[in-house]
Amino acid sequence: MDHQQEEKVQLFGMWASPYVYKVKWALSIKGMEYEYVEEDLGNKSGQLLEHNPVHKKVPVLVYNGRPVAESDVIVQFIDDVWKGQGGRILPEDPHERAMARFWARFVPDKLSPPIWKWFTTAGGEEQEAAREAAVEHLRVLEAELNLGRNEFFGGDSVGLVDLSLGALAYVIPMYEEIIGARLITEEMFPSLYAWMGRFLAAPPVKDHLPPMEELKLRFRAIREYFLKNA
Amino acid sequence: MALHGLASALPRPIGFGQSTSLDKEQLLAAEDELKVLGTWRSPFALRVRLALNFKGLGYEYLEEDLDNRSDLLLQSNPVTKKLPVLIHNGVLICESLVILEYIDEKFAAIGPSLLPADIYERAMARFWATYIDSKLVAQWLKMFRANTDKEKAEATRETIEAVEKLEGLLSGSAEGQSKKPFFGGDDAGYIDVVLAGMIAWMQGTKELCGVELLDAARTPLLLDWMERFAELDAAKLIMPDVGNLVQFAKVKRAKMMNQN
Repeated sequence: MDHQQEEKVQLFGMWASPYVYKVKWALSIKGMEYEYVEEDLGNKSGQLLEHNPVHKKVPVLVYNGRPVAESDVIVQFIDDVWKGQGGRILPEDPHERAMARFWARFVPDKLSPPIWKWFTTAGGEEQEAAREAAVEHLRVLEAELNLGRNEFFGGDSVGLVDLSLGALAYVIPMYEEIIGARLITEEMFPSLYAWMGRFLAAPPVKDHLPPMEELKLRFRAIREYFLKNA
Repeated sequence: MALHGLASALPRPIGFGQSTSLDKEQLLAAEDELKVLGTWRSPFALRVRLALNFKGLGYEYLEEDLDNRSDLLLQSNPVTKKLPVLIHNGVLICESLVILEYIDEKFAAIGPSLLPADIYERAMARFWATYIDSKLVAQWLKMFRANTDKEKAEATRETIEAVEKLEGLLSGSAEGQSKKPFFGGDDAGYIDVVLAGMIAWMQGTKELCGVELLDAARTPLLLDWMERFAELDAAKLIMPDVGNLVQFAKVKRAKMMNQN
């Protein structure tokens, strides 16, 4: 019997959430079809609250009626469930898996906070400090993750670390345009810069990106909000 | 991140679990050199030692003095400079949850598994491990370090909520399953090891923060679990003394406040 016919996959998400896209890309890597449910986060559905009572957030993946929450957990779940299917999200070797998991945590723990701070702070000392912190961590990434001949951190296809960094590939250029300053230039970060272009064009990603103009409007509004309420 | 040319003396494993008999499984471990860099009070280092003990793996434990970091540590973890670090045959693994999964996967053939075999249950285990770190541990630290009453009240509320959710997990009420002795079911597993790092800290909360995190009325199952867990062979010899922990934390906090 066709494996796929036995499975029901739902993804609860929100059009602007980078974590939701991480899951979409993971499902795309596996070639999995699913039902997508758009949530209004100002008016969360009963289903979402039932599936994620602890955090009440998106994304939530529901696999044959059983919910999985937290994007990093969902992505590894996807890799486990559809192990023999589509691309590998995590490598086979335990040490390489550990490295992938370590660098996947680096993004939300170290890199994203100063980038967000930079974006939501008015120009001045505080913003500059956030930018420097972000640059320091980007330097670490650029140096430690030696891409070498590889197209992606996952090798010749998108893997866990690529997925974790992924949203930054479209978010950072947007922030740069809105603020009017650069964070990642080709001169400063040749590997990362090249990777960003390749990631956005990669097969599991290119047809699963948020609507950019709408996202930009949303980010502009967010920055204005933070500047006003500082 | 492998640090090549790391000089190391021949291993003299002194960690709990080092076996002296020579059956096949243990020979495998004897050829492997495992070192753990940590501190006695780190909940994260404790997790790693517990995991190795559960699997019956011998290792050398190296207590780090954070005021005088060893060369080994400085070379080992240039990125986050944090403990714990696992060094396996010269190869470095950092971040406690990453280390735990590495141990479970690398030594899958030795001892019990930490993570469940069932894929969905494994996702649940990872979910709760992340929850413990991002909610319980993070909020506990905020509560402990709070500078204002408002900060402390908010962090206290969040910490208590996290503790209650974990109590609920043991009762099975969150999942619609029956009560079990360990988070891992009949035997201790991943979530047990992840939370166990915080046992002594949770027990010391009353004295450190004036907050009653645990009591017989609200958290009876957690209290039972803590007692049960501490009696396990893998845990017995390495759980830190609550009194020592409290003393250490008080001194540290006073130092930090004097510096401000």
